[in-house]
Amino acid sequence: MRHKYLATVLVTLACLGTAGTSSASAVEWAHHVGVGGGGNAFGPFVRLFVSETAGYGSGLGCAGIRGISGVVCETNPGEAVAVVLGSDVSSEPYIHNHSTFESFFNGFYYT
Amino acid sequence: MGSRRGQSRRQSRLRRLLLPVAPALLAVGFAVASLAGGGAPAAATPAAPPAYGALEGPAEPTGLTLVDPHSGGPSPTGGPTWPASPPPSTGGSWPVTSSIRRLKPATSGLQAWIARSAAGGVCVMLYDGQRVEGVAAVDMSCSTPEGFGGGASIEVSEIPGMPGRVIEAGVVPDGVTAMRIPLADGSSTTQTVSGNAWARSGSEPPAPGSEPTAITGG
Repeated sequence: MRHKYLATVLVTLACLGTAGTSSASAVEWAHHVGVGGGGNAFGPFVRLFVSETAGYGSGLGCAGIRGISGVVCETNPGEAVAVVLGSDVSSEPYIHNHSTFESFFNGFYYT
Repeated sequence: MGSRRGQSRRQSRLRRLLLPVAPALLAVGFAVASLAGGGAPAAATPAAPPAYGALEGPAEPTGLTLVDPHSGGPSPTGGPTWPASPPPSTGGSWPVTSSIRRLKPATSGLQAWIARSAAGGVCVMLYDGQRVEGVAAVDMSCSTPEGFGGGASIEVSEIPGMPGRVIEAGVVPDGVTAMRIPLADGSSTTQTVSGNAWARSGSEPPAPGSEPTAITGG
């Protein structure tokens, strides 16, 4: 009887421990999406704590979280840029094309 | 005697055969020597790899509080925060937490950091001092591994609570003393580099689509 009780307690604690463990995951919400010069592409309304943009070619990409952060832009093509928060929020990640011509980008958010 | 005459005849025939092709053979010899590096100066020494003194400093308090983004709530210190563990699938372009060192940008109101990227590049991180809904956003960019020697920089605009403000920050290797930044209005500004860091806060955006900014000094 005592062993059964102990096993139940251990299983319960293990489940609680698992539930309490944070597991971040990355979602690629935009893949090789074309954005006009100076334009934006908005992602889904989700819980997130990172918005990241990575570009193709010579376009300059930017990342932002609508209403929460500024828009952070790469200054050298091909480098990833990200806005990183200390706690997750409900908002939309977005890509901004800082170039004067259409460019292609990948967009990620971390949840 | 007869054999000596025969030998002499063979030598003169060889000379007759080689004489017309001698210049071509010489040219081929020079080309092979050049390709093999024979033309390199004897005193040439390999260039020292780029270094960042700020990265080598002691691990003093960075002013960044490491947190679990899923724990919820504002920063316990009220300052900028950073995920204690790197998110998955960043492709290596993420600052190595243990390498984060605080920078001292000359522009007031800004906090910045330098770090090695997990992929092998160098990263710059920036906090503009603005909290929105109790959350502080840290902006970051990492160079490619190949771009390690060129530094890293970011530009931030459309900052909530700072309309019209444009902030730039970057890190450059040891020996660079100033950065010349072209602006959208055709002018340019020069920013002093201190401890591998430079920053600018103004209303004029940099030139659109600008390539890596010119580096002076160093």
